[in-house]
Amino acid sequence: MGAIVPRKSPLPPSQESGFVLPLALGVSMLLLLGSLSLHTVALQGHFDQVSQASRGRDEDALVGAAQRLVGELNRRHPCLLPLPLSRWPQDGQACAGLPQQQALLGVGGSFGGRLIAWHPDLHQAEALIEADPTGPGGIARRAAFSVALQADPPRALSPRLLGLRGVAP
Amino acid sequence: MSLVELLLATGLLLGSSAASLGVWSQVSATLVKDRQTLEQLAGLEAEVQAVEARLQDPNQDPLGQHLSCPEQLQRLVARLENQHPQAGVVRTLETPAGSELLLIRLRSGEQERRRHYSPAAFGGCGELPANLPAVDPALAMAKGGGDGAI
Repeated sequence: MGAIVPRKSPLPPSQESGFVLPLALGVSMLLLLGSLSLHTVALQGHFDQVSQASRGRDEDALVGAAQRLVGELNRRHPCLLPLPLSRWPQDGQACAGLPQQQALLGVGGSFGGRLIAWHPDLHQAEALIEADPTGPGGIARRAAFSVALQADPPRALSPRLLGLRGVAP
Repeated sequence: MSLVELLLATGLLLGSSAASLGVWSQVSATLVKDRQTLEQLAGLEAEVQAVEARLQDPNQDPLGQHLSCPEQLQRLVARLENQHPQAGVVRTLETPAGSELLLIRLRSGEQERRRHYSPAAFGGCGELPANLPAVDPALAMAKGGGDGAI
């Protein structure tokens, strides 16, 4: 019978007893990081949805402003319809004085926006309209519209939204 | 492996699992709500397009200069009253006093769209101004070009 030799551990006592805590720490970190990335994905979806709702509201405001502007042009200042905006002060005086033109351009007007550009063609015009900023610190959105024109008598048909064109500089 | 180490590891795992479960349940609730909201927004957008198409439909009662603005407004309202809104969308038509505008409110759940339409924007309404000068559109274009920025 040989002497009983005590079995030696492959690791020193300090290393053998320390594997549970690092393992738990690693699993916890994995769980938390996974949750964090999932939360980020959900937040991104939420921002997309908020952005879509905001875009709809902007379009509504711009369509309203375009309707008011085109309606006012049809009713009171139809001679401006075939004229590009740069010629309104000179050649549009016959049917719209400077105060009326200023109102159409959004200076003290009540259209909920202002006309930035008006490019008439023989049968249609393209308008760039800027909506009034909504709320304090709001952004003034712009949109382009296509407007069908009739020559005699000069009339504009309902504006169609072509798309948003960024914000005011 | 000491008892203290085991207790610490268990506590750590339990804490992180609870936090992770909380985040997951919150995320799943947010995703469900966002999906509902997106469906509502899509329904509203489809209804907006349907309203636009209906208002500009050339096969409906004609609009134009020969009508007074209140008459034209009534025709616009009639065009929409004959058309049912999309499923899940509540549509209300209002004519704010003194504005000669048609306000269309579309609501789906918590989401709302509001659009103003002017009867005069649909080819004019009422009498033309008496002092309307004759402007030849071709001549105006030839003189002015297309650039209109002031």
